[in-house]
Amino acid sequence: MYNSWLEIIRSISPYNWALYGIAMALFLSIVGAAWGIFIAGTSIVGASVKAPRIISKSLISIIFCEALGIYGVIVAVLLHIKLTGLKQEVQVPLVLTDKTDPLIMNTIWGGWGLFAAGLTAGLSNFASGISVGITGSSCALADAYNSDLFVRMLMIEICASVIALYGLIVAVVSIGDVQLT
Amino acid sequence: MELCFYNSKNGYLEAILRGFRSSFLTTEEYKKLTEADTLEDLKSILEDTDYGSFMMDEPSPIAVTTIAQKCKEKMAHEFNYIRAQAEEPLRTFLDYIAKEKMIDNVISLIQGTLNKKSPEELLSRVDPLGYFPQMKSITSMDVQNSHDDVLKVLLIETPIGSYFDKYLSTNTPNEKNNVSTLLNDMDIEILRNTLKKAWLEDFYNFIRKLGGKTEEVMGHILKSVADFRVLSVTLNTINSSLSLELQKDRNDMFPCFGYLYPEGTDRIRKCWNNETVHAALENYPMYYDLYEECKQFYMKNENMNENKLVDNNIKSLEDLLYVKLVKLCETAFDQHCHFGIFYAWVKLKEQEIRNIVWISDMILMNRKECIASIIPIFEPQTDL
Repeated sequence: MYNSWLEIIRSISPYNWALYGIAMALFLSIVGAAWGIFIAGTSIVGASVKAPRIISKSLISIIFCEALGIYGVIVAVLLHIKLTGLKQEVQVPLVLTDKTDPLIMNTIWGGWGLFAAGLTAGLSNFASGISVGITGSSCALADAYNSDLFVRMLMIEICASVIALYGLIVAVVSIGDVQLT
Repeated sequence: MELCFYNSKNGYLEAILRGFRSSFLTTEEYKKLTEADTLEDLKSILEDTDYGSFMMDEPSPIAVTTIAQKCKEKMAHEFNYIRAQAEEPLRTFLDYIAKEKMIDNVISLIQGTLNKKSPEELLSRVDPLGYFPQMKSITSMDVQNSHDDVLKVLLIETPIGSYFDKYLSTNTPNEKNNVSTLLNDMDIEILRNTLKKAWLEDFYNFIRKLGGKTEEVMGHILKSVADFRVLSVTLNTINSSLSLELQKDRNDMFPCFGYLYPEGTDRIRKCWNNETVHAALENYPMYYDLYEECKQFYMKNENMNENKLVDNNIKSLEDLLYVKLVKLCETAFDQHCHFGIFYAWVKLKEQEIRNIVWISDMILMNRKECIASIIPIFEPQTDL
């Protein structure tokens, strides 16, 4: 019998959280990549009607967005490797003391840690995707007007895409810490 | 957040429009045009620019009106390309831009029909941007013999019918709407100005509803355009030979928004000559200076009746207002993700066509020194 909402949430199995982490990592990265591609892609297609020379250079923006999807897949696969199936059903106690079973401690840490790692990677890829998309679209329009502007705008886009890498690094480091036996 | 969602519906069209923007005639091309000796040379120089072979099929002695008409057709073709692919709300926005031209077309058709010109001639001189299929029935409108209801239906059926409705309902409050007398007796210019006022207010309300960056940019542009209308209507009626009573009518032609509204328009309403208008504009430094600059044109008009008005240094209010409008429209292109660029492009293209027509006229009249008074569009800034 549960006495409060807190008890219900606490007693959700950590494996549940871990698997949500995998889903979030992949789902949010893909949404970010897709959003970025459509924002940049429509502008590139329209601008290349009057200025066909920009097409090959503007593909860089699309590739940056695509890379975010790949980061999402990497993180999801790394998360999955840590999960080797249910070993035993874990009852999460309300209060954790130093007398609790180390197995239970590891499982709880593992589950919540994997969820956080997935969310980190997913959300940073999502934000980066939108950012790369908008700067990519402005870059294509500026390039179509004046080809000197492309390289400078590309600097800004590189900064936008590097922030996704930060999320990836943090996620990978947190995953390494987890021991779900 | 607008930046995130704008491109899904309008990204392609905005990018195409920016492509059109980069194909305006540059200062070098204008220089080349001024060196042309005949209209044939002009045509071949235009072929090298983005205009291309748009006049290929014209027979050899080309007239200036043909050049203007062909340029307008090209612009209308590009505009319709964009309009055909637009989704709501861009579609309605572009329809509003076209409605302005429809008003001009309908007025010129009514004028032409009253003066008994042939329908083919009238329809060939119509502005292609404001084309709509019901136009042809206006040319066959028989003002004297038709019943009032038929006339009303004809006018109200057009896409600008609601503006006619407003005009008819405000102008004849006492008797039944007697359309035929209205079309014959009153000044067509008053009709045109009232329709434009109704259109401007409608457009302004529409962009207020859209909100966001479009409202910011277009709001500023439309308010300035409303003020320009107020100024030009005032100056034209004051300096024309209309009686004072008809001049009172001009107050109905002031739009109900703008930077001059409500205090400025209130003071201008009470003015009856140039000095009082000047005093009324004291609080608005930009318009005050504008008025100063063009005052000479109107004073000269009063003093001498000869045709010495093509003097370069003296500009009329219209010329100055065109310069201001060009500056406004150029800055509209500086922001991403709003609809103002579509309106700005149409206005700048019109100005370019006016420039080309001016150059052609000057070439024909052999007065090349006046060519310098064209308004350059997107001139590169050299004085930073």
